[in-house]
Amino acid sequence: MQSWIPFPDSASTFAGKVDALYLYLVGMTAFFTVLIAAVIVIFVVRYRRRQPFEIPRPVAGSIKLESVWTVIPFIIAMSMFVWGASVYFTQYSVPKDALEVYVVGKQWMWKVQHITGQREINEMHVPVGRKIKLVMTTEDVIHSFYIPAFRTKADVVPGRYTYLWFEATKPGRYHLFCAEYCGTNHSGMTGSIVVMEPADYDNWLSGNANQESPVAAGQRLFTQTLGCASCHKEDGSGGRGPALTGLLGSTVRLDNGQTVTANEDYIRESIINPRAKLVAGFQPIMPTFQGQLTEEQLLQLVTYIKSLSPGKSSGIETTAPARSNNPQTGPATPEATGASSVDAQRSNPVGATPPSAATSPRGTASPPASRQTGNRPRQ
Amino acid sequence: MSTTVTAARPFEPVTPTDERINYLNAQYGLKSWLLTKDHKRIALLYLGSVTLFFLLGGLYAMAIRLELLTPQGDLVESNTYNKLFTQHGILMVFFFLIPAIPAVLGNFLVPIMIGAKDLAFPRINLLSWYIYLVGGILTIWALLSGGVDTGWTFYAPYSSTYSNSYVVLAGLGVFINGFSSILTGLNFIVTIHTMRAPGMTWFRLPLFIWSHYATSLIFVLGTPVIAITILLLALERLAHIGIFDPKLGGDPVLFQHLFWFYSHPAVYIMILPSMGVISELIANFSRKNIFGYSFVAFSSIAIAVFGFLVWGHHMFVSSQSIYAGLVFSFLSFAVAIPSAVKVFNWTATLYNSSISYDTPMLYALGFIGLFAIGGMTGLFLASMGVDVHVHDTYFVVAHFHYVMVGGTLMGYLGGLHYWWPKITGRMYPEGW
Repeated sequence: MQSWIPFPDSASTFAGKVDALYLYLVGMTAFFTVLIAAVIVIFVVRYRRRQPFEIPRPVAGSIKLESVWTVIPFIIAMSMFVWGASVYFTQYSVPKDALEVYVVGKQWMWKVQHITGQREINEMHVPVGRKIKLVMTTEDVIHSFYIPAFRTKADVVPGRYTYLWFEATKPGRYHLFCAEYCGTNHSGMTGSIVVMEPADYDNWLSGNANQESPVAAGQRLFTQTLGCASCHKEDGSGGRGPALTGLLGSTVRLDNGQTVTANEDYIRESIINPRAKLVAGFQPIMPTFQGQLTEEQLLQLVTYIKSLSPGKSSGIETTAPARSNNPQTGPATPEATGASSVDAQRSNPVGATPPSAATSPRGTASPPASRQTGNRPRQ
Repeated sequence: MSTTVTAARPFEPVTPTDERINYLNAQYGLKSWLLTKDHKRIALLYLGSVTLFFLLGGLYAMAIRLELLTPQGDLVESNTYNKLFTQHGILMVFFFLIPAIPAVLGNFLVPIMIGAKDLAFPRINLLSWYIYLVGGILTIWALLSGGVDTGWTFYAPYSSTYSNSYVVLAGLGVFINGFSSILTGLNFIVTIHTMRAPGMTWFRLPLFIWSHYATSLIFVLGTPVIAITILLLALERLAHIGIFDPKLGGDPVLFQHLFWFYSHPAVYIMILPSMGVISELIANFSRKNIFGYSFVAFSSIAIAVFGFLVWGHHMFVSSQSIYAGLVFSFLSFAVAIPSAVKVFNWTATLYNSSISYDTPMLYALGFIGLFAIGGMTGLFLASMGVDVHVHDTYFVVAHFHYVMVGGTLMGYLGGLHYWWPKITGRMYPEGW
């Protein structure tokens, strides 16, 4: 879509879909605009006043005409709606088998963390032809992660994780912008997504491999720095605190009888605000770690805890499902898309971990799809 | 109160040099203007102040464009530029686009068009103007003290925790100004309901009145929401009560919901009165009644009602539920239909008519063309897949400037020209 049209490059699997919809909209709106303009110009010339005192014959209204030009635009509008919604679901349905990359926005830079340990600032190297899922948050204000060439963006919101996914179709360097005004240097908060052939990507990975993976960093925080192990045990099997093994994607029963599905946001919230969702059968003794952890450290912890559920995913692919991660009353319902069949009740620490693939070695945590919580009540 | 004309012999022919008593010369002196209860004088008071804020907002616009002549940030520094576009937005939206047509043309014409002597609450009408002034002065004070740099949308937590500018002061100005809107809306609703002359049934009302009625519904129902939102923002900023900042236990997306719940209907406040003016202009300068009167009247009400249901289309990428997004997208397309129906009806009015090319008609035709383009770009934004790409880009800026300048401003200027003789007793020079 380059050449003579000043379009950004079309470099993701759904970019073409967005462009097709866009062209449809351009075509329809241009057609009707030209039509209306032409009709008006013709009328304005044809019916110009010729005698100073002429009075035209009044024209009665016409229900038929009104109906026609209400129904037809409505049908056209619905076609735009349906097509737009379909493209949107493609853009915002995060696939389960995507490679995760973590992003933390901050005034005024993008910090990128790969699961294998590489860290970047304002750049993100990704392999071509591979589904990539971004788990994102921000340390301060709302920013927005925008890659025009991929035709996708998502806000990064403080206090929660938001998600984005893409699969790049050709190698190259593509602009990254911050698309939500965030203060002084908002316009300077730009960067690049560098899409590489798989071989080059592997080279890049190994060339930058001397950094600690977030899973290892998270493990260090868990077992040493923060003392999580004292209640959750070194291996996460739980004691005074609920078991964390096999947690991801499972349905957790809370002390008020409601249930939630454990995803990244739930894990993060429980670290920052443990009383928000108290697991049934446990005492509210976990201290809050708000203010003691940066967003990056939180990401590392969450990644480590996720690694305790190898082969699991949190089920739903969409970024914000209808049933948000608000606690649900009534019987626990396993999540829709073939998620774990772990016992619904996690009131005791002896949660059966389902048989899974061999525990993944450091760095290659299973790529779970995760679900972003909708608006959560803060009580 | 309005003055009555008392000629010695009422049926004598009048030449332009006759010195008749009218609202302009009935009383002289500053006090007679500043303490007037005459809706026509209050309309002129608004004309003066609205024009002042329009020019001020325009100065900021010129500063923005000067800076953007070159890619480098060479005219002003980043923080200053951020204040320029913020203040351009605040002044234009809250102190020009929202009040202009209702307060100037609406105040002047609503009683006249329905056969009433004045509005239902003339003193409240004057109070509205003073409240507008106080809000405006506070906002200007904020600008002079150092400005505000949050963007006119005041998104939290930037505005509540991180911005080092005069957020609370500017917010207070906007908050107070909101009451001016609410009282004007109240005045119009009561007037239109209770003070129509005998025989002036609803479906004989000019379409100008229908649009102002619909606008007043939004004034009264929507403005309190922005008022409370600004209050909450100020509470968080001053008392650090956690409402929007997650570090204090708040939810940043809540701010967006609250803000847009008003600010979307607000844009219908900006366009509906202008559409009412256009209906009058098209009808008059083609010497025909508007085609499909009742459809246009109902469309105004439909826009006002549906306009309250679509705020989430500003939040498709802000981590709102995608299913909620579906509903908002659907309704946003639905709200486009009444506007389209109006455009078609205006066009049909021109058929078999007698069109003269006076200035107000040129403004009206300009409105139809520019508003059509602006409205069409709105369809792009309502379509979620494309909105993900163009949200937070200049596409949106283009869309709303087409409808605001090409829509609201054209209607305002066209109306001012059209009713100028009624307002001043003099004809403007047509030019040809």
